[in-house]
Amino acid sequence: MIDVGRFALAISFFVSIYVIVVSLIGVLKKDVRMVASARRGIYAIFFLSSISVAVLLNAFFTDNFQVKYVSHYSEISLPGYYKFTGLWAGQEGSLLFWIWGMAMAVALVAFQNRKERDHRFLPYAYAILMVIYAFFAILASFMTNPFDLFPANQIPADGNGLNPMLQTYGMIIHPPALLWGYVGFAVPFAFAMAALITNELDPLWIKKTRRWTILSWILLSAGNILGSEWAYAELGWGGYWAWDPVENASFIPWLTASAYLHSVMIQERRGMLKVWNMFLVVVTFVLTIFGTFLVRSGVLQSVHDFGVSEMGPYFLTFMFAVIAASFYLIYYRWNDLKSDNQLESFLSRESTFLLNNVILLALAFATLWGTMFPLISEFVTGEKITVGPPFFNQVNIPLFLVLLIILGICPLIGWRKATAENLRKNFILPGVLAIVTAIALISSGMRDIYATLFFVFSVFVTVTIYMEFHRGVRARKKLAGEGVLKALGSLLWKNKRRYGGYLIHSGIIMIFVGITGSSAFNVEETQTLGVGEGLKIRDYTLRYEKIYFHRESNYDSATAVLTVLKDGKKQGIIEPEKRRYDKYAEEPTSEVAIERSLKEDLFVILASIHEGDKVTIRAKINPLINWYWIGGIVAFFGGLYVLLPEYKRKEEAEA
Amino acid sequence: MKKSHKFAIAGAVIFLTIIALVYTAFQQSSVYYMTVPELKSKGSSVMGQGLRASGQAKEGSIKYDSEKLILNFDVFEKESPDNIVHVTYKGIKPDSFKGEVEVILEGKYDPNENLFKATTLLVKCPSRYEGKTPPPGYKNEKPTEGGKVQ
Repeated sequence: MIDVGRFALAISFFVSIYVIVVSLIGVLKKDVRMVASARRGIYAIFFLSSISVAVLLNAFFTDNFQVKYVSHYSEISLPGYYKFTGLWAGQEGSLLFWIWGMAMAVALVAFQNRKERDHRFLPYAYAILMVIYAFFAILASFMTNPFDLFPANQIPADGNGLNPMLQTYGMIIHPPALLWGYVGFAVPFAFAMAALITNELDPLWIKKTRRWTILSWILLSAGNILGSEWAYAELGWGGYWAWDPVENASFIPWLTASAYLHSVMIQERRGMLKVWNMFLVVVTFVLTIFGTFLVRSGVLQSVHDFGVSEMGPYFLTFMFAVIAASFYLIYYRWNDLKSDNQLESFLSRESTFLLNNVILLALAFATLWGTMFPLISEFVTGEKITVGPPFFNQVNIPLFLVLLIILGICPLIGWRKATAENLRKNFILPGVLAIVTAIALISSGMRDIYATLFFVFSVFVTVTIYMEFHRGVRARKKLAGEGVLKALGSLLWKNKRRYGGYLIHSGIIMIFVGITGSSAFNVEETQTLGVGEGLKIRDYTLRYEKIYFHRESNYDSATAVLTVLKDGKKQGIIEPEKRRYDKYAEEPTSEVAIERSLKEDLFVILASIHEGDKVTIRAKINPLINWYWIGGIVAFFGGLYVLLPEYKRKEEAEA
Repeated sequence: MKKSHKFAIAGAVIFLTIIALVYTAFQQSSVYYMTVPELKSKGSSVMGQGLRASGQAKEGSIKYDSEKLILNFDVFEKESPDNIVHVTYKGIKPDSFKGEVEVILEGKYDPNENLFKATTLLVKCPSRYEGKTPPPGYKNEKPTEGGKVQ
């Protein structure tokens, strides 16, 4: 049975080679039947990799511990939904999951374009996607095969169990979202390269990949935010982002993807920035590979050991090959990538998009630099120099502030060239409200400069977004004579890209507000308490009542019961917990108790238990943090809205 | 002045500002990362500077005051187990902290007392998988962090 999975994976590799060959022959000999055969090969690959995934999942659910991978990441008593997540808990499985996602994406691309006969870049795109697929399929088949077995006489009776830190609901969605986000970017990359090869550089390849870009961006965003929610609720240090290499690895491609998403709109609309977009699509794709490599290879996660993974050199070679080939193609088509138009004015929407790009790239560069510096410095000087969160905060906070300001200014400025009068008219209301906010915040005692600026500009941007909706609705009311709600409805329906975009921006503002509030104004207390004693934190008192012990299917648990008093009034009880998983008895884990509200979170950790039922409790108040998650959800739905089919009649009339 | 020149100058200004931002932040917050023997040999040159150091906690040297939350222990490097540095850390003792675990410390080193005053204590999780040397790819997702990850 296991062999079926192994063979399906290996055969899919050979089929991918077949697809590469026939699509190239098809396009060179202009043979449509060859291309059709390539397409069927792609479907077959999706089918084969699905079989592999099904076999591995089946091994998890039937507790087949002869499979090494299953025995490493599962155990008999592991709840079923976590057995499912075992699929991406380790390197081999996540590689297989990656492959399967890739196969699905390519199959969808082939299906979407099944009737397309005229464009030569499609077969090339198939071939490029299959090269990427083949690379990962080789690694999974011959280097880190998830179907490796123990000899029949050494089958363990039970598995090692899943790392307790991964036994949490967030881990069910976070890794697939991130991995699919990574996978999705292969599509715009392949189309861009194919367009370079065939010199079909009109915006068609952009149109064809627009939804893929947005979908991948949504998944990357969701993956990042869910990951930070996991860190917040599960790791129990009170924060959600630590500029850890693993976090940075998924954040950097998100930044370049966001840049691409914006600059490609300028190419679509004004025929500018063609080289730049090519560069961004290559960089983003390479960074997704690099992210996969960083997270799974052990290069940086082990903090100071370099290169324990045998996959490292293969990934690096692949990355350099991709960079060399794609930069050569860009160079080769340099003259065909000339802009149709020039920038006309500083005060134009194009230039705000450009500035947005520069800032996003600067963020990506600074984050990459800080992440990689320990390796670079050791390589160059032999001395290891590291940077921590202070570096990232010091560089990235001002850059984020600029980004926020651009977010507000951009919709106020027209395309090509804005007039002074149009600016004055648009700036008055948001400007005045921002100043009012500033005065209110400072007079109420806020002294943190960055926090004040972030709040002030959040108000500014929110007002500009509101004005956009207001103006649109008013115009429709006048034009079509519709009521307010109907006008709003048809406005949203007929301009999905534009208003979905604003929805995403609103979500981003909420995220900024949540980050600002929780990082600038959090408070923290740690205290060891006997029964009946209380810990005071700001206006809260946590009174320790008792501790009780219980047993679950694969762990022992101790739960402290604390009464929450706010200004002396009883608010409820809060129960932080400590767990000791059977398979990880050496490393107890903490289950944080969080009392969430829109204003703030009360975050309580049972840090340790001492003799006589004394406990050490760590409590933290994180103001406004829930706006971070809410903003994430808003941006997510904004993104989905953009993905809906466009309103056909007046496609060109937007913006 | 031609328009394209204006844009070039604006671009250069933005670029230089960003480089300056990265450079100053880097000057202010980069720290040396040293092993225990390196600390002892170069310790006096980095006195008073923020540092990162790695080593193993010595079995039997660990003292923890759970009321005041003060953790004292010695660290050494595998190759020279007798070459030790004392560590004092104010905060919660991480659950996975015990003798022989590998730790990463952040703080300052005082060569006169041979004492590392740690503000952060990260525990690298011992391998949870088969055998003594974990195969590649089986490393844990993240190191747990004292006072942070438990």
